[in-house]
Amino acid sequence: MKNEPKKGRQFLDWQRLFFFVTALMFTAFPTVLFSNFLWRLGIEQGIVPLTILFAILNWNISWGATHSLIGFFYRRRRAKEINETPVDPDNPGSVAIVLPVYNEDPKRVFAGLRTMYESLKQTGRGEVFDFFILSDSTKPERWLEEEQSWASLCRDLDAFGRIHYRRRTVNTDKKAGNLLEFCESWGSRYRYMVTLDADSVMTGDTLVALYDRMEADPRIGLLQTAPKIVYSESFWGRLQQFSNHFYGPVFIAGLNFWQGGQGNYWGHNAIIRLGPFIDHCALPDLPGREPFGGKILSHDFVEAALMQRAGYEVRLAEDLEGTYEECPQDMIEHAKRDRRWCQGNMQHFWLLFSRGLTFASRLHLGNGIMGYASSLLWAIFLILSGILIYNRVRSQLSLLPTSGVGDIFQIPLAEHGALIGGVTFSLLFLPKVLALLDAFLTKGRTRLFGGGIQCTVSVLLEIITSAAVAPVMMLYHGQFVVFTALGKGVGWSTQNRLAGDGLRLYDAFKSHRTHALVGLIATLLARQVSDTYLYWTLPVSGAMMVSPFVSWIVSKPSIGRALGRMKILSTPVEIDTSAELEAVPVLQERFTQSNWIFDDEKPIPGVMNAVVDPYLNAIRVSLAGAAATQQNTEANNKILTERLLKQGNGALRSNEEKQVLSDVEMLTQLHAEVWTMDPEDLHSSWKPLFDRYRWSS
Amino acid sequence: MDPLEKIAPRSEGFIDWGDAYQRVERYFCALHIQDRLLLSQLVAKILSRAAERVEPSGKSPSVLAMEEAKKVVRTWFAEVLEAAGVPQKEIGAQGRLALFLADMPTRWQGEFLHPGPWPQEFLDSMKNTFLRTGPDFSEARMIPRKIDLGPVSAVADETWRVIDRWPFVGALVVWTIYIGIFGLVVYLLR
Repeated sequence: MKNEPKKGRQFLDWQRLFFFVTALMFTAFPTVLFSNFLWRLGIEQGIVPLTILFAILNWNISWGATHSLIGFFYRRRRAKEINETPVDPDNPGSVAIVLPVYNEDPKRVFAGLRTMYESLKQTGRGEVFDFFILSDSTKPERWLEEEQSWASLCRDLDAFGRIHYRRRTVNTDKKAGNLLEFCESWGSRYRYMVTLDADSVMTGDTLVALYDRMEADPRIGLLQTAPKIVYSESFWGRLQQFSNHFYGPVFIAGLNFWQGGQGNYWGHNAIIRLGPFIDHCALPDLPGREPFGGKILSHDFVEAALMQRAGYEVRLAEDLEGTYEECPQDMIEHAKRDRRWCQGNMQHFWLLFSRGLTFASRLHLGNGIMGYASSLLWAIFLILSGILIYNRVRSQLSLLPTSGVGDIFQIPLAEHGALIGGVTFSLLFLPKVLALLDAFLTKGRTRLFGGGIQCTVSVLLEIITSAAVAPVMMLYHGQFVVFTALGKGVGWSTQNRLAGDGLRLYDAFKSHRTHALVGLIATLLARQVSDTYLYWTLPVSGAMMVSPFVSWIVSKPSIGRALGRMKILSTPVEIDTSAELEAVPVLQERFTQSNWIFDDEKPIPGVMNAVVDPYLNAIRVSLAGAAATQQNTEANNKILTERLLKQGNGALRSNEEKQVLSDVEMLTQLHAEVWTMDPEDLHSSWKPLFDRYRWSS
Repeated sequence: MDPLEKIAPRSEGFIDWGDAYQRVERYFCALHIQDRLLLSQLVAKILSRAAERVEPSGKSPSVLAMEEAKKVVRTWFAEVLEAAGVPQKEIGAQGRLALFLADMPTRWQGEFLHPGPWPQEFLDSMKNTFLRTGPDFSEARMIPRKIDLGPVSAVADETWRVIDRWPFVGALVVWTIYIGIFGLVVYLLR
């Protein structure tokens, strides 16, 4: 078979072996130092669990540090030429670009879509690509706007038959189910599928490059790009954006060094070979019930693992630019997103030991779990070490002159402790330092971040802010892990990526009051242990105490803008922006103007909008006619129509509104009646809808 | 005599006709008629027709005017769609959708409610009277392949099942963990 994948390389070749041995050495050295330090202190009780905890946590830090260290050197080598010659030029494949949406702002979604469509057109290769908006939106206000935006976009670009729109009335299995339904309905028409998020933007050149690489190598089942964060306004958003742009490439180079063709999938901004995806990547239900079992919430990691299990490669195209996404603009929104991701990652526990997965897949799944579980382990480690030190101080025993690893370095006990702290912090900050060094050693890279001084200041600012935020994130993540384990699930919500005016101080206090209280209690307890211990733990407990203020400050777009003016936390996309990134806000503004009947400030119920507006009504009637609708009885229709006209806003329940919106006859009749009835006979809530239509020059 | 002349200022129904004027104007604004002169002409034409019917019907000017507006628009849609060779079903909605897809407000405002014959290009652009949301289905089935979760997951699964069968056991496990943690702290601080 021509397109069957060849057998992948053995997992533990020299590159990977070298990588893991380096990470292990980074873990082993501080762990031995730490264990010996406890022993020298005379702490015998609890030394084993504490050492194990320290080793696990240090492995997590070392893992990141090794990525950056190897990545730093890996980036110094000359880039390999990538073969983009199609294997079978006489049989070109086609691509479906799928955009799942769930109540996101249609103006932004369609601005991004239009940008990508036009960018593809400019490459001269656009004929290979079709777009699909896969809507799972549940709010009529949202999906009616989607329908109008889609129709006007297709009209303006003459893209009917190239840009498709499909809305599900029942959101079975959330996003994974949305994609599955697409694959089952249209998947076999296309050779590839590019998955996007509602906030994704990809340039035409990048999309074409992804396609060419897939055509050139039939072994690749999934090719993931490394999306860059864009459009951040708040201090928090800009911090995330800077970290992603500045530290990301070095880390990702290290990731690619060991994973090769056994990479991971991050759910969007990636291209997938549809044949094997349909055959092998349907998601099984997990044992038990939600949130820990049941339907798989985070489908991406699992799909990558299943793709590899089928013998295909999953690769990361680290060299491709022109792939973008957005991020939450404050800590609370960030935590909300983490809550969902945490639950999804915890579910992956079931798959860790399943047969047939590659070791790399298990590693990706394990790292995903540890990304959240490590916070809980840190909390346990801090509590446990506090108790043991408290016992040690309370015993009032003098230290015995015990020897140990410290003897090799000829260092007293205090320096021994400082050495452990030094090594751990060095590993923690190594990725940041290496990224800074990489920027100075790569020609022209510092200029892209505002200059050498600005780069350095940005890194320092990011380190300080991360240190202030990390303890709060630890509490958040620890809490999420416990909640998931206790069976407290999380709903499916729309991600808010807008900064607005930032958080109000009251809201920040409300959200972080528990963290501040925990910080206060921890400080008081640490003071009970000893003054020295208090000073050691104050950075953690103190950060918790001031978390409401920190959260409030970092949410502010005004601070973000001020930093931007000074070129602090600047990124290449701000200094050397691409045409596509400039186009999106312009198009979004244009959609805002043309979609003025969907006013976000004074929202109007979707059903009323669809009844009054002649064009929206016509679009909905056409789409309702195309879909199979339930046949309502005439008497029931009459009751609903009467109620809506006479009682106006709030007269219908949600399911009744959907009933009206899916019934051609009712919609047509309502539109005719609402305009011809005597205004006196209509409910007063209809009046503002008519008042909107005025002549303007 | 022009029926509009019946609507005299200071007459009893003048305010009602003002309301009718506003309502008809708003309907055409909702159809994105932006040319001021055209808008005035269309509204005047509709009010003129409504004024002819005012006495025998007993309906308010506002209702009469909108009935006339709808009638005029529907008749025009029927003529245009017939000239464009479009089979007619939901003529009002079809016509409005055709206007939208033809981008009438930007490209063909002068043709709106204008009696025929119409330019061929306009008729061609009015042929789009329905929306096709996707290509033909090419159905495939995505069926999960069997996945052996291994011994650890099997044990965990069985534990869940037991807890599901006897919720008391689940509660006992959770409380044991709580008490265990409390006990451990007490033991370490003893």
